[in-house]
Amino acid sequence: MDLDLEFLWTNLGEAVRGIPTTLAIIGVAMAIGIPLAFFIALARLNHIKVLSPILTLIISFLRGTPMMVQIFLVYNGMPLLLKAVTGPDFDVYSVPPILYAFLVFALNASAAYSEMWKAGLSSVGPRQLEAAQTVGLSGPQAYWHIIIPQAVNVSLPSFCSSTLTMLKNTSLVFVMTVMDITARAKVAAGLEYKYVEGYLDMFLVYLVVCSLIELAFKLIEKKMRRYQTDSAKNGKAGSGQAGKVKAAV
Amino acid sequence: MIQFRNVKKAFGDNEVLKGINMDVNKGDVIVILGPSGSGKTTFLRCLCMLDKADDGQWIENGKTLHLHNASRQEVRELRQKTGFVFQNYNLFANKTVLENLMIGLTIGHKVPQDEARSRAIKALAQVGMLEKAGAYPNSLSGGQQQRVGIARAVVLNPEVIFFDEPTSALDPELVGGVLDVMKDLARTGITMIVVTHEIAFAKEAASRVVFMDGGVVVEEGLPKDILAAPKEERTRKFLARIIPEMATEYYI
Repeated sequence: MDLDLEFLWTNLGEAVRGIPTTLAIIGVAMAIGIPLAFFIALARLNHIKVLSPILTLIISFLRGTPMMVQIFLVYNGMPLLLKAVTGPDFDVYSVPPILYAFLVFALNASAAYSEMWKAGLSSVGPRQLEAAQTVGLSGPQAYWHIIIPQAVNVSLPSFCSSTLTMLKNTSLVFVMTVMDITARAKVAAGLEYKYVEGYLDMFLVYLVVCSLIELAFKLIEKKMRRYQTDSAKNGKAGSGQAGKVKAAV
Repeated sequence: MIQFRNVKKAFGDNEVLKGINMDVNKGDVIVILGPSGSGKTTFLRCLCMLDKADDGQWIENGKTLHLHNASRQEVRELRQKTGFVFQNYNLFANKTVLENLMIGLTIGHKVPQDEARSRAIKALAQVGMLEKAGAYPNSLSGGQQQRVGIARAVVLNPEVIFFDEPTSALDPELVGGVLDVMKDLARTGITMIVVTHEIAFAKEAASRVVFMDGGVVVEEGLPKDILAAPKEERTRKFLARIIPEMATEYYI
């Protein structure tokens, strides 16, 4: 096999230079997606009229279509929409394509994270909220101090895996001419027709970035799990659950 | 004196409370007895606004609070002067024992951190749980969790504490410890309204016993009167089921 190791090494730098773009897309998706998804989950859990079925429908669109199709649709469709809204004077091609990437990924993150929030919030149950109300906490205070931390604790592993899936999917944005890890390594490799080396560079960079993010999640998880390690030690289920089970018996 | 008037609640077609009236003096320990499904828990939950009553008033110092259409502000004020002890403890799972007590003070009642800490420590000592201050609820037994639950209500220094079957979820050997804490508490002069099946507690600590059935108060009076010589047939039947000696007395 004829691998150009020197090119593999120099091109690695090119792939690395794409990391900030990739992380920016994920960062924006998380910053918009996590809070938005929380409210989507709340609306759906509380079966809010009109809003809840609409959100369910939108989420099924987002989750039921390939990301590549969404990217093509947004990248080609949004300029038309913008033109229609802003009039002929606005140069729609001056819009940086990364904004379209932000849009696609923020929407997808909201859809994916809303399922996590939903699972997390329903695992906490209404009793913790009631207890918080009886000690004088308002609804938002109860959510902030009691319910959200417990919900996050429950859904952190799935938060992690959806985030990683999304990060891997960011490799698709090269079709929108966004210069992320994939695009940079691919373009540089294309100039010298050394695609395998280029792909190996991408492979390595994604591997490292994903592993680091996974590690970060594991650390957060460990920090947040303090109150469950107690139960693990004693071989008991979660306190609320234990109470419920006992009551039911 | 607090007066509860005409408290009503229905879940769909099921009328759970059919207009409950009750007078509570300061320092009263009122034990509410009754078969399951008689509306005892719902009554407490309506008074604490955990469930919304369909009708009813909370009258105190000449002021009337309408339970069915209280404003947000009124709900907040009401919660500032009530405490609630749940059947299943409902301690905050993500907070240590000490934090469970402090959060209501610091966030709910805007008490400064240091004062909140010293009040929380005092309340934990009162229920004998100080050594577990740093533990998370999951590592505690049911009895310990319930004692913390009581301390969490007491620390807020409420006018009245509601107890919703505080020992029903406990293993039998743990019931005594929790009841002892409640008896000590009763002696401090705090107003308590207790839903329980523990007749011994009613005998020893209650200033008044209320018997509820089918969403109404069937009869009420001093513990010695109600428990030893109930006037109403329904009360007698209920007591005979839970006090074996009484069954003998009535069925021979």
